[in-house]
Amino acid sequence: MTGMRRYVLTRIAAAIPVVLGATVIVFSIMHLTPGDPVRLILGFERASPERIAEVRAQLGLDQPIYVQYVRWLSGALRGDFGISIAAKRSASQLIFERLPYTLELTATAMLISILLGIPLGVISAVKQYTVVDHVSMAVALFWLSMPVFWLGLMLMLLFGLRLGWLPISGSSGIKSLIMPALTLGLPEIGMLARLMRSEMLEVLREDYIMTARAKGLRELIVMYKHALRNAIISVMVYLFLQIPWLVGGAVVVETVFAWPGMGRLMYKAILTKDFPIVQGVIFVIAILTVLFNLLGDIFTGFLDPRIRYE
Amino acid sequence: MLSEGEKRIRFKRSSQLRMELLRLRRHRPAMIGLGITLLVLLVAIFAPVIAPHPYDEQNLQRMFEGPSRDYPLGTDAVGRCVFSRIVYGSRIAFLVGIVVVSIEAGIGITLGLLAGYFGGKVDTLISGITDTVWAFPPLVLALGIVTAIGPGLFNVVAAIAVVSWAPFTRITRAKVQSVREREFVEAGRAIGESDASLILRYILPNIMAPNLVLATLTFPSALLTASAMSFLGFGAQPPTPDWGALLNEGREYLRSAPWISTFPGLAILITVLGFNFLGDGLRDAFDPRLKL
Amino acid sequence: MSEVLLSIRNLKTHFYTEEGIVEALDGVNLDIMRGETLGLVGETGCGKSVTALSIMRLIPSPPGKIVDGEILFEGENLLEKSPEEMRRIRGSKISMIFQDPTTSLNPVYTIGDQVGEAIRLHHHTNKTLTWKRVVEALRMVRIADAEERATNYPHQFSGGMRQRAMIAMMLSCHPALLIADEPTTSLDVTIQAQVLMLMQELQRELGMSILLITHNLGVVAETCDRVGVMYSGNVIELADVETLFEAPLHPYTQGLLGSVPRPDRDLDSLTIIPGSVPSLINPPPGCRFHPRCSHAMEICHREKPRELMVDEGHMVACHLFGSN
Repeated sequence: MTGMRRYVLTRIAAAIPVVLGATVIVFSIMHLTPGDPVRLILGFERASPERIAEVRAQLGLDQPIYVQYVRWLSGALRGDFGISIAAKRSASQLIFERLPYTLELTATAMLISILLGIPLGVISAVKQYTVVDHVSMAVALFWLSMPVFWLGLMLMLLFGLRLGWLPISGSSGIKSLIMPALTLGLPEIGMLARLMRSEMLEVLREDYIMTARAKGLRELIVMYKHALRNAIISVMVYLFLQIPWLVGGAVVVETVFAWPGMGRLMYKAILTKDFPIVQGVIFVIAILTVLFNLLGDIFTGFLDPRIRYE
Repeated sequence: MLSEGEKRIRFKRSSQLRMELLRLRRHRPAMIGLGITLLVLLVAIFAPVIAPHPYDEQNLQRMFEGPSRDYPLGTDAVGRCVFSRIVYGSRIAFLVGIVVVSIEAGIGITLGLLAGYFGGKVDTLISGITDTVWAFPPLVLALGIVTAIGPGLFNVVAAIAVVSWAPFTRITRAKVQSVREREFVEAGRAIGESDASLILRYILPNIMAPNLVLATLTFPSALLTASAMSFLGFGAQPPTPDWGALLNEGREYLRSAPWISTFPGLAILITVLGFNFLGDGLRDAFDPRLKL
Repeated sequence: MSEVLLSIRNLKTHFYTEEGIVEALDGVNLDIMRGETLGLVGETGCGKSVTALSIMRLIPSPPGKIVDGEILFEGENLLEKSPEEMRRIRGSKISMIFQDPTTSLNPVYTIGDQVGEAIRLHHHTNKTLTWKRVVEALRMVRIADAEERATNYPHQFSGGMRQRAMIAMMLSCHPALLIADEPTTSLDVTIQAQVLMLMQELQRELGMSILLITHNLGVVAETCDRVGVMYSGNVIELADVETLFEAPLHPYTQGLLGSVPRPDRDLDSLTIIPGSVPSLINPPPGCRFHPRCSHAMEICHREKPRELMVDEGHMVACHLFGSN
């Protein structure tokens, strides 16, 4: 399996410059502020010169910029994002406390989108040109166009307020996970169904599908064992990439449903201009993106023998 | 004066265009999308005529009213007409979408042109930056930027545009690379045409079509992202009737006056849906093979 | 006197497209005898592959449809069989191999898996037995190190080996008829000869018939017993190999043979058949070849020529040889 090992190593090597570049970008965010960031942060306090100096030292803003970058970078790579301005606690502690909640939400949303989106795409492709195809694709486009925050409010209105079936906020058990997960996951169906359909259609045009039929295989087996098995490869990569994307989208959903995850933390941090937290969250998301990119590539290597045995 | 060859190329291109437009006309969802888009555009243009009330006119006698004859979609917390606010909001939606896409496209196409045409180190640098920026979910990075530069509609627009130009760069770069190798460019270079002239005359016309299709496809996501940021409170500030902001205003009254949030959201959904139908149709008509 | 294995009578297959109805096959008649190799030649688009797919009933059904005719295999009409019955015939009684072995094999399953799938489909068997048969099948097609090779993936095989694997897959159940659609066209010339030789050996060993579809006359000359020439949806001439090459009767066949350079004949120039293959959506009335035929007569414009037996085993569809 040396082919596989080589493949993984090259992928990791390619990811490193991206991570470094990402750190530069995340770090620069705080320094985009026009004017003095410290005054901006303390804007709501009437700040004494001592307080200003204290925060400035706390944020390390009294050092030249490259020193600041290195300090921040070395901290970030160890998982230390500095001290939260508002909470006066370790930013990383706050973030990592809440990360599991966000991951729970994201994973559930992903599951929902897979269970609904993939069959939709497959059926569309198998029954191409029929009513089923057109309706499915219209449904997919509908979900693709759905504003996530509106969906959340509408679900909340119907199932939470009007029908009272589900709690509208908090994280007490499975019931409170349902609406946020649906809100985050349902719009994903659109993109997933369309991708699945187009990959299936491409695969169905391949010669080996004809070979499979010529062997005398039942159509169902041709579809799933031969066509889907090939079509799912690209979709897998996409799914891996979607996870960090969903984590980003969780900012909105967690805010709507008061779900105690990283996204909601970020929202509150933006309001108070709590840069260590904002930067920390974005950094975590960037790392997740690179990580899942990598995992997606590796997984593809498992699924596609052509990559494994170069 | 056009040479014979140029005349023939232009004729071929125009008849090809006619065929593509014909394909578009037959595509039913695309026509529905076009209809919706035009409708919203008309609403935006004729807002003062269509809206029964000014969008910021408060009527504290009639707060939280449901839909009625005076107020077709009800009133909000300070007695403003929800329908009128949505109508005026269409202007903002269009404006935001167009500006974001324009800036994105401007940045993206320029970078794509440079990367594709000059290749080598320029390409590596630009592609590296593009891939790195694109590694972030746009909403998240835009939120980060807005943390630094402060809220406001303009800031949101700038923030989104500055993080989402990657698709334009990718498409343009790929197209430029394929056109660059074609004979007429070689010929032009042989007679000593300058890079700038070659780019303008030969390459630019060829990259326009896929970029236009991409622009139509990007408009909806720009609108959704901007609305999301306004919904969170970082975009348009009151009393600006941005649809996302309207949804935010209605949040706390969801139980008692759900129409305040419901209808603006519906407006977003319909507009985005229309654009997506149209964009799909355009993409299918011009180049169904293009994996956009 | 050998018996008829497959008999195609008046086969018409149409494709319904946006531009119109493509009349791909317009009344094809063909008999394949037990144990023989029948070649089917013609230019691209003449309907050879469509004929093959029609026999297998693998015509993609939204655009395509078999609208008329019958295909008698071992006495029974294939066109009347249920999908389930057809599936039992495919791969076990009638097999088909395709042109490009690179794209005709599923890249994500091993060769052993794919050959084994064919075996398991048509026999009652268990894992060990299947594996044994897979290795046997690969040995049958002369693949060295069959046991190890069976665990490889298609992309690890060379082109020639892939085609052999295809043959192993499709012959593993000893079919009575093998349809080979351009089996060597995608292969190197040297490999072509090997694969053809293999097919002939297997034919002798298994006693099966081969329908060899190709546009390469050289291949036909080497391997076939009889050969049919197709043009624009019909078989316009059918004879045994020597007769066809020595004394072709149909103007199209003559043109076809005259356009191939031959080292054993002194020719002043190669024949060019003027014009191009007609559209199958609005085919020319009467004989479909008449617009390009230098011997076209008045009747050729009006009436489609019937198939006439000019000699023992020699059929022509041309007005030059008798009126309808």
